[in-house]
Amino acid sequence: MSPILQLFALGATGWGDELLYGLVTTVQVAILSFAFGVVAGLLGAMMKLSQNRIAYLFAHAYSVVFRAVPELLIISVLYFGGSIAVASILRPFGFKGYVDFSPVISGVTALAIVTAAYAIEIFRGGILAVSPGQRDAAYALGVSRLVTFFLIVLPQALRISLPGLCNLWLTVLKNTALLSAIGVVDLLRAAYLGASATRDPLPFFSAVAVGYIFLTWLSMIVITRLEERTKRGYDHHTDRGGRS
Amino acid sequence: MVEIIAAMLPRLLDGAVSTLIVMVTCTILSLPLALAIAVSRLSSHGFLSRAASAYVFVFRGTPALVQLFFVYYGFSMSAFMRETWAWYFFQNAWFCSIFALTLNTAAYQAEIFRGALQVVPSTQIDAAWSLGLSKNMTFWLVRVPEAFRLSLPGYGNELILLLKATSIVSTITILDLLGTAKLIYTETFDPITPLLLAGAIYLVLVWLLQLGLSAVEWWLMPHMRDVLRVKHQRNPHVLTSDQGSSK
Repeated sequence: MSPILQLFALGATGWGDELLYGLVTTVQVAILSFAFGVVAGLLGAMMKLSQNRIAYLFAHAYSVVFRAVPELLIISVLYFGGSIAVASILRPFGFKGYVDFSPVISGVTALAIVTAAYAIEIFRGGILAVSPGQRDAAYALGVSRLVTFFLIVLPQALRISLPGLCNLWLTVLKNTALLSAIGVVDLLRAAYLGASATRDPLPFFSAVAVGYIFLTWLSMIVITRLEERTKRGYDHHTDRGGRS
Repeated sequence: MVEIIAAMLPRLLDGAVSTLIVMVTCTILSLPLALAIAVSRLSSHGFLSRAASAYVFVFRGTPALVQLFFVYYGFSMSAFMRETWAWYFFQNAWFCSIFALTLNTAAYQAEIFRGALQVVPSTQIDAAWSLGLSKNMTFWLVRVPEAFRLSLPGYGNELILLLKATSIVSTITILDLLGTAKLIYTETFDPITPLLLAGAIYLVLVWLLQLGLSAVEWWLMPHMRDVLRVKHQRNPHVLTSDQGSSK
């Protein structure tokens, strides 16, 4: 067996299974933070577009601050300072213990916070891009504001936001590598451990690069499918004023 | 509290200077590289354009942190590097950071420039040719300046992302803004004050960068100044009750 196959063999002798577990952790962490971030981002976009001045200012400040501060700093604040902050908030209520967040929990929270900040702007653009005539038509038919938003504006806004959201997914996928800095054993961390143990870093870091390229490539296939699907009924006809 | 912050601030600002050094060096070095990649992608030379596409795909498909580790640990710890002069380059965390981040941001910038080069109106190029400009002159004097102007918004975003991305160099022992904040944390066992202070400094840096970029946009787009002067509207008609007011 060639040395490279021996190095990446599955089981106790090689590092293949450790790297695979890391790959799975990377995907899990990315999906979790993306899901939480997108839901929070949609709420934020609704706040930013609402007439309530305070809601607007809060959502606006949120998206400005969390898009300007490096992800690694937010991850570090939540990991090193999160338990202290939560404990000191709970102290007035008679809490005397010690809260400890695992790296995965604080890491996913931090990434979801950053994802939400970007998702706010994507959804905001998408909602604003829906033609006002759609809303007017719904109101003219007597549809309530809430139903208009969720059944008429939002589905169209989602289609427009889809490319932005897909880009955001690719960003989140790559940002998960930052969690290795706080000890989450993702693909990069697993390879780092293997590289330090074997003192042969190049094959390990090449494997990480291949792993991420594989995930990006897989995502891009799914994204192309999704975008084709959302374009049903729109291609060839949009140029002629939407008549089909 | 004020004294604690006053004691930390000079050290953090020192770190911010390191952050800016990495950022500015990468910006300067990546510009010609990105332009070269963008031009290769658009060239009719099959191998060149395929190599440039592969470069962009690999560097945009992997995280910057992976690229940094690859360069810093992968190259300096490898036996075959230790015999050559390359080892002196790759043992230095500063050189590795600048090398990796330059290659990374150049891939993103190349895509921005490629898009801009493609949307320069073909009438401009026809006009340049009809005036007798050579192919090279048309490219450098007409197409590139106009493409740079078109790419300004995307390029500005990429520079802000680069400023944020420099924070990863703290993982390979460089005391940039984030690295200094973490060092202060290990000395004082107080993570929240130095890290939040560093976050505030990053916010100020991004704000200053954005101001500078708007100034450049103002300067390079004299014909668009009326549009640039208009502040962004809040567009409050979406979730509001006064549906009649929406245009």
